[in-house]
Amino acid sequence: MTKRFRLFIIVLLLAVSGWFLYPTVSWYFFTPSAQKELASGSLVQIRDYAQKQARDRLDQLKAVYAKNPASPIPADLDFVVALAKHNYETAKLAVPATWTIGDVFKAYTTEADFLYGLEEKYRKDLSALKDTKAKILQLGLDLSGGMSVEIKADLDALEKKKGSALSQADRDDAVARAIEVLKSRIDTFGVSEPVIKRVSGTDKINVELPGDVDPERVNAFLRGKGSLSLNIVDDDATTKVNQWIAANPAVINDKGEVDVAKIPQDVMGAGLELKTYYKKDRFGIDQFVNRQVVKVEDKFFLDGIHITAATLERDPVSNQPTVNFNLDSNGASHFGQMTGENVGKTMAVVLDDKIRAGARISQAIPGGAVRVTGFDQKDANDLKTTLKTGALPVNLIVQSYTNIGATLGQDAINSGINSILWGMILVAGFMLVYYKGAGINANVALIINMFLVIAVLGVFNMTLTLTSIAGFVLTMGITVDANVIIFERIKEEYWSGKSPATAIDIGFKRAFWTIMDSHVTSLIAVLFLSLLSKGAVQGFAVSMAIGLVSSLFTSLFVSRLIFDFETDVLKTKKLAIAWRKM
Amino acid sequence: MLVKKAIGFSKVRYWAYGLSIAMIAVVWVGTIAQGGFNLGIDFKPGLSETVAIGSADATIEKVRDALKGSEHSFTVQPVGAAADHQYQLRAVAKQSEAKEANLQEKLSGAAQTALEKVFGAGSVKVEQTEFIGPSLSSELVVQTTWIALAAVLVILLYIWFRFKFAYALAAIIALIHDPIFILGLVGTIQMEVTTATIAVILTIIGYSLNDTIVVFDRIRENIRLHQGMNMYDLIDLAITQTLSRTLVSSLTVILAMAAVFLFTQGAIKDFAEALIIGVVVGTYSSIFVAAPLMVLFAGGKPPKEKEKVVVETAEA
Repeated sequence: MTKRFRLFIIVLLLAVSGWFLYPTVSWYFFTPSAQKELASGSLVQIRDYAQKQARDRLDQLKAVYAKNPASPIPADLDFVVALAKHNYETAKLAVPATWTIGDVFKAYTTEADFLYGLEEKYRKDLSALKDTKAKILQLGLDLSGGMSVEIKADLDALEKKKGSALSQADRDDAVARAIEVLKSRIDTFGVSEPVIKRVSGTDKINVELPGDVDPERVNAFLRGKGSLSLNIVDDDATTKVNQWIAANPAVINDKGEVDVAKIPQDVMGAGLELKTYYKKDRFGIDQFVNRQVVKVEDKFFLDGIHITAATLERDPVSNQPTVNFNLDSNGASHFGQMTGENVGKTMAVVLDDKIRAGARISQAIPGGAVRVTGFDQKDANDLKTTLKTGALPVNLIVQSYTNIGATLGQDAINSGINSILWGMILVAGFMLVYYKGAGINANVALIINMFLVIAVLGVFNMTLTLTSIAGFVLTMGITVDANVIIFERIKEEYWSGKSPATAIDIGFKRAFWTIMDSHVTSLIAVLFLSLLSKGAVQGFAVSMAIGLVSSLFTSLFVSRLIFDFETDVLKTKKLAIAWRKM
Repeated sequence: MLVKKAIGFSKVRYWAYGLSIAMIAVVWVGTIAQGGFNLGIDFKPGLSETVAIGSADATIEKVRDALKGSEHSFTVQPVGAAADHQYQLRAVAKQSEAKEANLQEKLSGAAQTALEKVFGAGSVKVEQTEFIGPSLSSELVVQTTWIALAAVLVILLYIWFRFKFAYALAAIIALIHDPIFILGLVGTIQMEVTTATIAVILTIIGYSLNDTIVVFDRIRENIRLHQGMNMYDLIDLAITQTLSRTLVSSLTVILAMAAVFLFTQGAIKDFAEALIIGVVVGTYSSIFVAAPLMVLFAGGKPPKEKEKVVVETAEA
């Protein structure tokens, strides 16, 4: 390979790494902290932000419009042109060549439309920011602060309850359902960016919640069993109760909840309960729909534990989304009777006291295979999730639990940065003093190595923890070691009277297998370490493994090129490779 | 080819064997005298919690007394400066409590209640909580043991493949020598044994092996260059030739880990400390123990080389 080609490979690799690293760098160093906070905010925070921004912008635009509809668009608001243009095109109107504020307002029929458009823009901006955040090098909980919980699904108890041995598929299903339940719960919980995943190959679930988390609320969310039921709606009582509430608005508190105890007996009879119907909006936040009265007597009620499976399909004829679910045998006979006696009535799906969906019963449904239609795609999907995740299939036992305060995390970041910085200064300084000119080679290789390791960590979206920083610092030692092996060999050859170019060539050749052997054995040790299930040790192992591979590259390839450059291009007659004269 | 005057490392080999055995004996007696290892939360299930107490008279004695009122037994250690009133509380979970779903809450709550009773409601701020359930802990011990054994075996196979069996055997003994010493030392100075300790041990194994392999590589090369030379002189020559590399490499690792040691706290600081000691021991073992042992296992003669293994020949 010619030097030019080798240089090209190195530059290419650095450029690719730089490109991969760009989102991480721009996030940590160039994104305003207000934006960062928003992107890691909960759904409610994002909605509030989008609504406030949209409202402010609209007011601003209206003020300009009121002064003069023909005035140009303020520079900081020119993004509305793109929104308006889109509307013009959908309406097949001629798009104006120069935009005035009046043209923009013409793109919307009502002010509410305009507001909605602006809101969507801010919502999309934030989701884009959230996506970027998912692509960068993440800080581990020990650095960002937060809570990490490992939970084990108690399958033994499930086995006992079931009375027969669980197959692997049963186990997988139970754990997968538990995860779905936790996920759907955590959404309503308003935690920002939770990670909930199965520890592969085990019955364990790992939950990570960054930031300042209130342990008590998390415990509640992990513990709650959840309740799901299908109830028959009492239409007469619903009308009566809603009329009564409309006449007595004082029973609604500021959260929109009705104080049920105040509703008189003759309005709402025995065996009935008032439930509120909520639908998720585009932000994923519950929106009030209406209030309904459901029957809670056994006859009119099916417990969600009887639901065995729920799927989302499309009707082959109408292409409408349908939700199908199956019931176990007890559930099937009860449901058959319940539907048979209530044809024409509405059945409500009640999850944790909230109505999530409603469907009219068109006929008796015996046999336990149920089809529900009449939803749009999104609602159908929500219903499927609700039916599947309503109740926890298994008990969860907390196996390990770590909570680190955010201030402690900041201390950890500082100590991590300090140790990397000082580790580098000490090592690089030593190499310069001991190997003089060649020390520069080693240091360039070292810096490139660090850069590559961070880039690879970023590409694979890995998490940076304090232990991975320790692995990182150790990688410095390894990179330098490889260079030392080479330098010592070159020095020996050079001092025995060979020319710089020959000494370098032989030095690299002789050092090659030594470096290979030492790297491979270290890599073996590190790969086994990465099998240890504890996250902290894994972080160490992963950054070491990447460091070892990239150290092979920098010492054998990068360092060599620099030497060749010195001898071939600069025509160096003397090698500066030792702190003392031979 | 320039031949440096070889330093007579192998002349002191019996002293070195003796020193190694003596050192290992001392640290393990020390560990036993200390009543065994100071097992960290990873290996001894339970709760470990760092609390800051917002009360001026929260001395360690008072905290200990306060916790005596709780139904669980806690050990208390101060964290940071005394004026911060920060303490690490440890409670051990029993195997019988393995199935309790809210053990962590129970232990943490017990500590909080007991402390707030003495220092006032709202005075206790939990800075950090770590909990490991009893079943996870025993899993980890089994897993760790298997992983360590498997790693050593694969490394042995690799060296056997690259060198000869005598080399592999000597390398493995030098390799076992280091963690045994470090483990004993960890027990003697009562450093907490955590999964990070496992990381240290495997890293030291890797490093010591590095050193050993560099020396072995050179020995193999010298066997070809100086045929008929006495084996002990030969290894002395190889060790001398690689000595500056061995020392410089060890020194740079020590420098890098010194930075970690200076700037971090807790488990990572222990990690750096153990690693620094480990690198020193590993360097010693590859110079004084591994190479002489190899000669011993090879019966004082050069181990027969496989023809297939191509090493760069001397003259170029």
